[in-house]
Amino acid sequence: MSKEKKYMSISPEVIIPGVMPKFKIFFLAPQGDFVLWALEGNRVTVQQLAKLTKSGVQEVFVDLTERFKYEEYIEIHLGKILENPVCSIEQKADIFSKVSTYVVKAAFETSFGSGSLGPALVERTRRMIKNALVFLTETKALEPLAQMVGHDYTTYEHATKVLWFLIAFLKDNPAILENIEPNYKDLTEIQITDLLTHCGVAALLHDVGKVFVPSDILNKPGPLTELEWEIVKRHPLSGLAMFIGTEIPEFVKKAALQHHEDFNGSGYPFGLRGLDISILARVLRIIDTFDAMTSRRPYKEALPPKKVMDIMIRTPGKNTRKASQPAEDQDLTMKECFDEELLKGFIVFLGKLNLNE
Amino acid sequence: MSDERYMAIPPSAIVPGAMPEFQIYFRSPQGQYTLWAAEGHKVNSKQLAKLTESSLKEVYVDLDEQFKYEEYLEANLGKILDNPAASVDQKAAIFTKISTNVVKNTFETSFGAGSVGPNSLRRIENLVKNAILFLTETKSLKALADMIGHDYQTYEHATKVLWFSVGFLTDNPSVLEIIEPNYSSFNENEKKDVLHQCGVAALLHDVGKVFIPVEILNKNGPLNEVEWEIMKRHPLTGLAMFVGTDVPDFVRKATMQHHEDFNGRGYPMGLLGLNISILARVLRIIDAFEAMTSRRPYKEAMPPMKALKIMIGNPAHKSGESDPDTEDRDRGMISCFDDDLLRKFILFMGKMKLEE
Repeated sequence: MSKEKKYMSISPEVIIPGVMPKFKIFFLAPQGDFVLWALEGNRVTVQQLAKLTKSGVQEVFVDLTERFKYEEYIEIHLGKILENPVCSIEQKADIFSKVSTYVVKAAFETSFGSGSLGPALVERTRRMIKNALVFLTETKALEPLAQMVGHDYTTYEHATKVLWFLIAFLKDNPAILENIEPNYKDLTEIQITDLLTHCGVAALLHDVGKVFVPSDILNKPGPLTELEWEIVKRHPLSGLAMFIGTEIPEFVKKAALQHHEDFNGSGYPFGLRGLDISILARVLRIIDTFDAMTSRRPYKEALPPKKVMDIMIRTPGKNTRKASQPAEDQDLTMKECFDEELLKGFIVFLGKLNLNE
Repeated sequence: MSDERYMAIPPSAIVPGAMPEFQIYFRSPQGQYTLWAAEGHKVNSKQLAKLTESSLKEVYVDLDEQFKYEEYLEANLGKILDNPAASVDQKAAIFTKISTNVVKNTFETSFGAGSVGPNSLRRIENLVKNAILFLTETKSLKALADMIGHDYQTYEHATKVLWFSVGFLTDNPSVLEIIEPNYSSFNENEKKDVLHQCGVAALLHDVGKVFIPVEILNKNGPLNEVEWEIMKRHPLTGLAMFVGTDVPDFVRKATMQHHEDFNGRGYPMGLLGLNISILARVLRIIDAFEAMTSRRPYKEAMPPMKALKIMIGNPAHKSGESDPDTEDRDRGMISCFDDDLLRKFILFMGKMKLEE
């Protein structure tokens, strides 16, 4: 090889038999050379793949300059990859997180200039979620989800985790889905998929309005000034604004708009109280808080899940909340922020995840 | 009996055939209030004609029954505006009163719920429908002109923006065609419906202000950074209040974007040029014009011609030169507007024969 090339390792399980990738696949020869294995345009057959797996090869390689093609491939074929019995659950979790992250990133970044998401991005988000639904509701997928708890907090990974938690939680609690959609019991499978997909869009894009909050405010290590806090508080409104002109249903818009409303009426932007807050927003309020508190932030360490649950269920004591700080950053007791019944349900659900102390 | 117990109303506000639920008095030359029509009495056109012939300019309503009177006006607004016995000025006055009530009510009842309820929306739509009926009489443009320069109040402001918007759009169907691409193939009813919805946007463009504390809204002096941030939120809050209603997207966009400037320096998104929806660009112009020509607690009303000049910007006026007559703030407006729409608006204003 004349030129020094750079390669990224991918799992061979990701390549779907019969679905032609547009990138070249290499493998690493025992001598340390990268050897072209499947040329662009070559169909990878089941036999070839089986041979590769039998040979004990754990990874194949893609030229880094073709990374974009690889990412496109796993996004388009996400549904098939997640259905592939050859692929391990960890692999699937990894692929799903990657794709979900690209999609959120695209939604956040490309909509900044126009101030709106646009139908194409919404469609892309919806397709990704639809492809992932079956996987996200599998019981064994709870294990990789549990492993993601405690990661660093990045906006895109946070969105992915909230999506995952939400779908798994809703699937586990059909009563909530019935509350969201009163005709739930009469829905066909396809309609249920659509409903869950809509909920997933709310989860993935609930924070999209944060693109209008300067990142030095979002990542500020110290307490926020009054002005900064007012700017942060605008993000659910901006998020709603970005949904305009898309076919996102009203209950999804409401969920994004109200995901910082507190059950006791002390939330924002409207200070809605109790059941005036839409059910999906009340669920998101819980999951959003749980994931934020169990993640490491530039300005605070990750808290263990058990401690987070403690804080979330305890009633406020002597400590009073500073008005100009998000409650989840003050680690105070937060019980009154949540719908108690939903919170109980969520804690039962978390029990199934076998989270580390 | 003291005078303060009664309010004067124009006799033409009582329409033949619509039974008022309040008592009507008239005032004798001696200054005595005499019951003329009791609650539940039908006022017939003969009686009314007699009243008009008697050249009475005013009849009276007991102040305790003011609410019933206003309710009556709202319920019968269409008939009142259609009543040939009423002068255009009287119609304008009645319309403003009702419109102000309805908008005020919408603002107030939406506050607790954080959204504009379906009942309020129906009332607004009904109001707009009647307004359009009224405004299509060209005569009423004069009444509209007379309204300019009235004292500023948020609700009254909304009403005036409605009048201008509907008047301007009726005069410029090409703008309506951009708002609704299928406009030219619509039948009369569908066309009216587009105009009604534009009216809803005009009336409610500021509805998000109900969530701005009054101390900030009415502050006598410049706003600090925090207050300004809260103020700038009102187009978004307005949009949020439409969630769960059947208001069409172009109305939502117009509400949300009515403070976006053509040069990209507006808020809340800083959208540029044609990325701002057309109805929002129209509202930006009318909103600014109406605000400048109204008296505010902290400023006098500006003559319409002067306001328009400032909005166009003076080409002979090089930046850096100071003009004692024009505030810097005002001169900065030149690139806030869609030039093409501004020109159309000025042409429209020309038809109103504004005073200098």
